[in-house]
Amino acid sequence: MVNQIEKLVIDVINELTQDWDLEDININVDTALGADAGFESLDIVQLVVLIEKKLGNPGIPFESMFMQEGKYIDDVKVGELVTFIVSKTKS
Amino acid sequence: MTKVALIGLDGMTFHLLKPLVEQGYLPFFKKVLENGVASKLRSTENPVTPAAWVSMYTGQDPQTHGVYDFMHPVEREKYPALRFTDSRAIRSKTVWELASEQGKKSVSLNFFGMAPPRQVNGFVLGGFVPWKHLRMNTFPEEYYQVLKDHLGRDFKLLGMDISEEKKIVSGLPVSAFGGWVEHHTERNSVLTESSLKLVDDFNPDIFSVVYDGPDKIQHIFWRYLDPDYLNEFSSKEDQKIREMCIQHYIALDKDIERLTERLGADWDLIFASDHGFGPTVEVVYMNQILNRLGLLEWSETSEEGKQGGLAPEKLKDHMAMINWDKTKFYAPTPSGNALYLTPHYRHTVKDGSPEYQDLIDGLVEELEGVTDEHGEVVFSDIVMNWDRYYSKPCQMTAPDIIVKLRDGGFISVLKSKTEVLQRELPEGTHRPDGIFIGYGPSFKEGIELEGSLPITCVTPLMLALGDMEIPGGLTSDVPYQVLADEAARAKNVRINEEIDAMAAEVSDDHDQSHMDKDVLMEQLKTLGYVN
Repeated sequence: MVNQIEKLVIDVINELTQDWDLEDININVDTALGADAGFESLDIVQLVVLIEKKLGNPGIPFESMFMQEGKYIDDVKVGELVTFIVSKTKS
Repeated sequence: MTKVALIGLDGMTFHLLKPLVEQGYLPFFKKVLENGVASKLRSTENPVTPAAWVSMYTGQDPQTHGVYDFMHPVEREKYPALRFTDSRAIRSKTVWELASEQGKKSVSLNFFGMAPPRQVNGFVLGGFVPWKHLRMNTFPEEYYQVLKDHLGRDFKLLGMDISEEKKIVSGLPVSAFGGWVEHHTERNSVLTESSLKLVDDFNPDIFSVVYDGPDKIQHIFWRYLDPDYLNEFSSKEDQKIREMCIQHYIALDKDIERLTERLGADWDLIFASDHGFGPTVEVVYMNQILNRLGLLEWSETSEEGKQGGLAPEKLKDHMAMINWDKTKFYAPTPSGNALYLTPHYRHTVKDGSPEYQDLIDGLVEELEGVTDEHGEVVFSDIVMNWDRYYSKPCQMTAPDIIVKLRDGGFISVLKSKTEVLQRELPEGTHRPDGIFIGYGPSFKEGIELEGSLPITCVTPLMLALGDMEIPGGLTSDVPYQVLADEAARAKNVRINEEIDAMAAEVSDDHDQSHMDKDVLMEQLKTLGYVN
């Protein structure tokens, strides 16, 4: 299941960022969304919407991952996001 | 067969357009005003972009299509959450969908509410889309690459660049204002280039585009542009800013001329704005007024806004500033001018019940009595939701009350020491009367109508001009008074009660309300809605 979610998340990120003029970047579990892939708050919203769409809209509480005390957390790594989704999908 | 173009001019007003035409800056608009039919176009009750554009392109009012504001409250058990208004929130079909159902081809470019895109026979790319997300918001998606290749590096200007727009509100010196004007002038040009390509590639029966540069310029530079302020703001620096802004309108005039030349003389052209524009000179702290009336309680962690300036960063949490347990009414956004009952209170007071009516009557009476320090009333009008008052079917997104400020501005939702605060300088804000100009073979020539046309008349007019059937039950009729006599006879307008003008309901129940809200609040702040 982890591998499936990892592939899904990486595919979504690649799809989302294909027009962003990123330097040759290979999205993997160590990629930091903000620092490496240039994600901003709006992009995170879009990422979450796309992941939910691919997963069939399961209502995962992404807010607890990306927002703390009303502020965006953009130094999330892809691997952390995958782990979070897996944990919430299982429960 | 007649083809129809809707050329949207966000925020355009005759108050600005006519003097610019008279001064010789806008030769194309001079031509269409002299040879077409002009009228004021009355916007929605609260003349704000989402409600107004959606009303224009669905032919229905907000009570029917359900869009009132950039965000809408979603009821939770105790407290409301705010959700971004997008195409999934629109309960009605668009003119492009209605045309598609009748086999016509449509192009829709840069209209608020068209993201994610509705599927039509043709092309859709909505407005308010960040450039990074243009691909997934383009229909058909594969055409995105065609457009991108055609525009080259300029393709980013098709989308919204929030980081660019933020700069202007973070205290740039006057000398840097030019960057803002230039950005939006270039963006208009890219919209034109895209339009020309779309006309060539899709050969549409209905073509529609919104130029949003005027709104962006006017929100920030209104005091330099408004003829009524020319004496007050007349320094050399002021005149330089005014000249810089006028260049934007000159470029727009040329852009639209290029587009209409490509369309050809057999097209009927509708130029329309979603609302007018005017000055705002004060800030009204709506939730502070509700607090004094005992209807809203601030939370212990709430902080006062920076008076007269932009909202503090804490604005992101403005809904957390309210103690929901002790609040009956609240204003959720600075652009909606709307008051809502809190969810937990609504559950105890049934719509249309005597208790509800007493509550609303009492609030209206209180608001009518709100005055400034000189004893002058603050609200020019207080609009009740009569559907809810009489327990008729009502959209969940509908406010209980809409307030109209005496200076035409938008409310503040922040906590404040004062209820009404004079601005240091006048700024630009919306007015109800936008513009309508019809130009082409089916329209009267050289006429200016008295009074106003309703904004909801544009959709039935477009359908009629395109020889299409019009669904029964739209809010307005075809405005026959704009049509040339012969055309009016020839058009043989067909109303079909069987056409369903309501859209299939799409679930937008993704749990991203807080994130959407925060992002949008930043956008509203950028656009000058938040004080």
